[in-house]
Amino acid sequence: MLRECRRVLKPGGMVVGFSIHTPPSLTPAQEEQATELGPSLVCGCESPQELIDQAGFSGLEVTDVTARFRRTCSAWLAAMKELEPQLRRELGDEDFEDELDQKEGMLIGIDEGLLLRSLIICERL
Amino acid sequence: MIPDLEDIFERQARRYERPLDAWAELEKRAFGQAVGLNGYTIVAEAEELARLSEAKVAGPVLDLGTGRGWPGWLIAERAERNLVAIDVPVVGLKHARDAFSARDLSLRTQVIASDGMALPFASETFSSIVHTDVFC
Repeated sequence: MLRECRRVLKPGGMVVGFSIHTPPSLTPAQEEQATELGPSLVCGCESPQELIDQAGFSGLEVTDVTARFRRTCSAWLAAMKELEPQLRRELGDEDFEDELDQKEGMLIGIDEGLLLRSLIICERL
Repeated sequence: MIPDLEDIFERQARRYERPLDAWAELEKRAFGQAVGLNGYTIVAEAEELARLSEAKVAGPVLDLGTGRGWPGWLIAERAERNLVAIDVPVVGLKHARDAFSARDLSLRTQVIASDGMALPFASETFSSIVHTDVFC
């Protein structure tokens, strides 16, 4: 996907965005746990630097925003619990519980050091 | 398309079909306002992306994996550049088109059903690409 980004970008163009990823050097068991707790493809992006290098970008800046990510997850969870009866009625029990599990899983993954979120900026020379 | 991605897109489509009113109420309760956020990119981060997407070169911005149009609409509004928003779930793209239209951005935005693995654009089209939690 990053190679396609490089192709459609003008020279001097930027890719900027947030990515949820794992820290380097997780054990296979930790990788499995990170995949269960976080986004399905999270173990494919353990190294933003490596991905960016492979795709031919430069000027990489990575800023860890995991603390803010944690606050965002907590805010979602608190609001979901406050509005639980209304959300169960409008979304249905299955969707509500699916969403709650996803947010709780994310929070556990952050707290156990398995999930990070970073702002990643790179440039096409 | 590999099966895992197909599952992910189907799951996303189901999320985008959920009632917007319930979601907006939840968002207001969590963050004090409803902008169409359904992931983890809060308003301050969207503003950061808008600022950072102002590349040194001219040209449109590509919003990769736009979902329901957040934070694409804010980036289009702030960056004052044309913006092309792509994603796979069509139900999300319909919401994105509505979000752009509601903010008078229809003339500067375009919504296209596509995944990021084979972008339907000529080489060297865009000045910048923004994404939120797509590469994970």
